[in-house]
Amino acid sequence: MNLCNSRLSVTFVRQCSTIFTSSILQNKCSSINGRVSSCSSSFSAHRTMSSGHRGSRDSSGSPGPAGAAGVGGAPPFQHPHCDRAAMYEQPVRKMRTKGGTYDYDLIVIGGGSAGLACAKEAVLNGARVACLDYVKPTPTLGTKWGVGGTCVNVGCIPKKLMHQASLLGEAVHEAAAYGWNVDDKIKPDWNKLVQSVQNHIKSVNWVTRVDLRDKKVEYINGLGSFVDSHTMLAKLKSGERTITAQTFVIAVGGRPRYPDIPGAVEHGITSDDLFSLDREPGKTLVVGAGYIGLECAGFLKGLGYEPTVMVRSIVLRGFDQQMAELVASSMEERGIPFLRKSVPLSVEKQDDGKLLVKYQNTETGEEAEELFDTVLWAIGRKGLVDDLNLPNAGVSVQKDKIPVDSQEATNVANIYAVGDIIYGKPELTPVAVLAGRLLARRLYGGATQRMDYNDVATTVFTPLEYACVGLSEEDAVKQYGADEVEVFHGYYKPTEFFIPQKSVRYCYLKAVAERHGDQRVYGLHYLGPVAGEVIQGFAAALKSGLTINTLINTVGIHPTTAEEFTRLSITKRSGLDPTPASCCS
Amino acid sequence: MDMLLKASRLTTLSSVIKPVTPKCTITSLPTIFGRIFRRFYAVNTNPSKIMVVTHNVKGYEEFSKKMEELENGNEAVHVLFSGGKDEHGQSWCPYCVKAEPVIHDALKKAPGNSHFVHVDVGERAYWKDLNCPFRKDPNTHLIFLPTLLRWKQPQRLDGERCSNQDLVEMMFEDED
Repeated sequence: MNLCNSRLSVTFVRQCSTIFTSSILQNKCSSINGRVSSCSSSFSAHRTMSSGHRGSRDSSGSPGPAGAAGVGGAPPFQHPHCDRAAMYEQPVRKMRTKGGTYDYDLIVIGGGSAGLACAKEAVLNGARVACLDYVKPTPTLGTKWGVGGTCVNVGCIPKKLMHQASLLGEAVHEAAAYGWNVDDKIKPDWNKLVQSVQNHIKSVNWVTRVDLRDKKVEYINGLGSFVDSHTMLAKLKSGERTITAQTFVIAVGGRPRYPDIPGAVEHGITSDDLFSLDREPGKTLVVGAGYIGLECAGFLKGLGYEPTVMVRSIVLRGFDQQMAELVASSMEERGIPFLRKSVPLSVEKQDDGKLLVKYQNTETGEEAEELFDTVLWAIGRKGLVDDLNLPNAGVSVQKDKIPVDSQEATNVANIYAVGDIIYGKPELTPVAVLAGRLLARRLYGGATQRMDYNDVATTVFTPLEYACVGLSEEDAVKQYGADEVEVFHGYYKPTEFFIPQKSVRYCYLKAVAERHGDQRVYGLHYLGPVAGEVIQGFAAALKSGLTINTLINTVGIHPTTAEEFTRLSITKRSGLDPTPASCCS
Repeated sequence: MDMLLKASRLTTLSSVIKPVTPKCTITSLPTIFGRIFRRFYAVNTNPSKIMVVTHNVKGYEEFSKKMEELENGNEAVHVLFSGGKDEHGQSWCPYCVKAEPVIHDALKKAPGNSHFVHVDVGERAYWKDLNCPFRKDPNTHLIFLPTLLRWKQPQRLDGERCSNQDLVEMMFEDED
């Protein structure tokens, strides 16, 4: 004992925690069993509360006709669009979610951020859960990946790693100004970067599989499609399997879209392929100026390739447009050309392997062409509803997404949806994780808390990062009227930028707030280094009802860039110059 | 061979002491039947009779040499790092003691012709030194004992998880 007490103490805590959770679990299980066996009255109560078909299903035990009964049982469909008041108007649905003659209490379709969080939480609350996951290879290069979904495999994680690689290159150049003797000719090794990134992803995949096995979630590597609202056909490597469940959670997420032009699928790649590309991307045309397009163009530039961004209409749709234009300008300043108001017409492969892209200006109708090594489509993402055979279950679809109410329920009573597949909600991993977890707690833990999709902070990892939380300036004006909105703004100069003489032209932030009264803050926007780290804490403040008064009476940490939020004093309305005189005034 | 015998003896011993495993199958019974069934199953799960090749090494140098020798092959190499043993064959690291029978039992699930290297990391004081070469080696980056990993692959289990039969079997069977 004495010999290894440090090691033991750690493991002892772990043991205690496992004993603790398992005893809780057992308690829960036994109480559930108790309810099932003794409290038949509470069950019949549930039955009368839910629609009639459920009672008949329980007595017959066989799957009924496709979905029709389910549709009848659901409340009239509403889409509250992030309206908090409307969100709580709907009562929490009470229905039997466990037991019965089904193979599982819950089948989660999709092993991404939302699905895994939901499946694990459901198991923790005593449900029998299976989780299906399947990745269709990409059409161009046949890229596929393991469990974990978009974020881990072809999204946030590899993106952030490549962004970091690009920032490090920049940092090496700056290091010289700080007195490091650096060899001028640093150059990136794309294949090594891809290898490192992929190794990290593979170990995350492994940890995910271990976690699922450890938590007793049955992981099925198969493509699921509905037979009826309680039955699913899973296509596995080894054949097909029919499984039934009381409840389904659809968390299939989305995949990149391809434009409908000649050569798009044959010669173009998407973000699904980029992070495992086995050759240097070279001169790249990035089509699309959403956050994915800008981020990819940003790190490709940082790694020494020559990206061009093609923009159909606006940059960063859905984000504050003043900030979006500043992001675009900061990228142009770094030498990334933007082809504005342009759409691609065709992609042709030349004999030397280069890709000839013909494109058109949508305003002048002028056509042009240019040669690239790689064409990357970043024109948006499509919900993966097609393979699910949703009509069999009676689930309605809206623009390849699934509309849900404030409890993530679809129009079919026992089928829910979370994550990127749901219509009109932010497509972000932490949103998906929390929504999935809360859903599982409501279904199996007796909880009532619903997901709040408002005031979610997010970051665009462009070379100069942009992070925001809350409303954009135009949304605030739309919601409250221009006369009722005050915008505090300012340019700032990060201390570390002076020595390497980095451009501070686009280091800018603003707070969108109520004009009168408490001056509640509606939204915060920050363009500058480590934007995500800066805005995360402010997001908690904003959710707690931050006011301008609190903000400017908060003492900053000097010298940081986050402190600039506490120094905001100039309003747009005043017309005063928002550029600072010096750093410490 | 000696190792295998020892392992099987350890298995029976440990199942006598701790018969409660999460998955109670007929083969995990701590009785004579269990032993018979264990043997029966052990033969049948590997019908081609291709055995996992077990290697025992002690210390960092022996370990590095062994890995150099094995990593040119195409077969998977699983490596178990555990604390050194005293004269009674007992390791100073309690989770290593717990993990060893589970891992040796699960070895029959490993693909035939694959290698299993059991690395005796050494004495406790040697391991506790934060500059211990096992901790510094970029291919091992050991933090916990025991650690079971597939050489130069993402599969890795450490600490308590090495004595979870389900996870250890998953490790040996994993094809990704």
